[in-house]
Amino acid sequence: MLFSKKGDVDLIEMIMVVIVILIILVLVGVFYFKFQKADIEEKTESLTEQRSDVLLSYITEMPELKCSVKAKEEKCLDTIKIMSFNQMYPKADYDTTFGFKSIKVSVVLPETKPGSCNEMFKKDYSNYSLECSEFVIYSMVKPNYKSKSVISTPVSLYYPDLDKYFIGKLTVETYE
Amino acid sequence: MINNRGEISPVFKYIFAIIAGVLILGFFVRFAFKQVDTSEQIESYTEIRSLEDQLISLSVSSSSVIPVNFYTKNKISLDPVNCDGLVISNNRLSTSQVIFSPEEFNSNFYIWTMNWKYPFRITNFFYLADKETLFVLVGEDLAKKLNGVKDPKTGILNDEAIPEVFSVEYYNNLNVDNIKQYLEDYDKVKVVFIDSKNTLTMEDSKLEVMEIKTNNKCLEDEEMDCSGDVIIGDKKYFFLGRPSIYAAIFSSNYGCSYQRALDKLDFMNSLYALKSSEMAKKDTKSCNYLSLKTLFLTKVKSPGDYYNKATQLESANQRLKEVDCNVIF
Repeated sequence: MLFSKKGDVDLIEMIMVVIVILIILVLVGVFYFKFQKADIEEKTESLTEQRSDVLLSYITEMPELKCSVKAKEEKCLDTIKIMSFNQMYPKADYDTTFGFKSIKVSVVLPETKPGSCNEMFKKDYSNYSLECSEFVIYSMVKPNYKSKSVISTPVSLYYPDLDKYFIGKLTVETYE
Repeated sequence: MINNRGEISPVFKYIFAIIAGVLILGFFVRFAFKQVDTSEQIESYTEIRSLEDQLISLSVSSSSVIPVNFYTKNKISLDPVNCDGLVISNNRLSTSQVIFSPEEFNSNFYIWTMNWKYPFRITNFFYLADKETLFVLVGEDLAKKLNGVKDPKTGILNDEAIPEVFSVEYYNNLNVDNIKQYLEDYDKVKVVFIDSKNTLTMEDSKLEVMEIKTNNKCLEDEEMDCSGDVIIGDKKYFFLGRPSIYAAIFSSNYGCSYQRALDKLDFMNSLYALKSSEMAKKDTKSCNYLSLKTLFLTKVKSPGDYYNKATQLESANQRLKEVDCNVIF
């Protein structure tokens, strides 16, 4: 007695074709989603960079921080306003604008002792001007952040109590 | 003898192929629609982030107008509860900016921003509207100037005018027939009676009516001198400074948005009070910063009190400059 195996082969052929098609679809899908994910990550990075650039210009013009000398607005940051702002800004409003960032100003010239000016301000230390070098405007660190991008720009710092200008560096650190 | 047990009938093969084909096709069609959705969401999110960046950038300008054109065709609305966010295609843009806009407007609209000082710079007001919203100003000189009067020699609009990109009409005496026509031509019509009696009795879902009563100082050079009341139905609010008149004209939720402005004014007062306190510690010239601190912290409620406080602060700050003391603002 002879048994025809033609039908078995037919069936196996069909199943193999379907499996191969499925494998190809899965591979195409995997590559496509990887590509799309990379594209979205790139867009996010670009938007984050854009936001940091915008904030850098915005911060130097904020009425909450900008200095006025002889009742005229000037292109500088007022150190007392910076420290006052850091102490009392309404979180809800500025957390929305700034997000997970640290915004600081460090004194470049003349050289001052390293230290946080905000801490001295809180402790009511009167002669902080040459005893500290860093003003924190805003800080909200992202928990478990993977990386941070940093951009900075030079600024003029005005000390109203001394009526003097120092040179500083405004830094925006964005947590990702 | 041949055993055909293993052979599958061609009919079953065709059925199998059809089912597999339909499943694969269904998968691709669903995938395509999902892709379109995802792309729209990404586009929408990108647009919102860009809008937020634009608002932040504009907030340092003294006065600017820019157009905004969104990819989405959905309407945009301002959060009616807290006025601290714009809702666009199911995406919410939370913002700390002070926005005055109709309840809903098209995705192609204009942003006008203006600096608000009282007496120091506090924040920028953002006025948002599309061309399909018509503002009808009824009144005398002020309403006419807000609509805009072109200088016959230069063709330039007066300083107080609402920018030409917005749809604004002016009437000395309102004609109801005109309003009926406008209601057909525009998505929304807002009639504002400025120092003029509200003579409109008609009601329509597309129609908003309000009254603004000023202290007749809104055409003077000093913006701060302008103040008055805003009457919407049976509710009464006040406004301080000329930028606040535009706020009342543009806004469908004036009370809510203006409260955000007043909160910012309070914050700036507290900030300057703290600065005055610090300056007092190192005061060697008897500049009397502490009295200024007290003035900054004075609580006020009525427009008259706000105005008195602002003028006293301005005078005190000027006096500091005159006696060679460092000013507070």
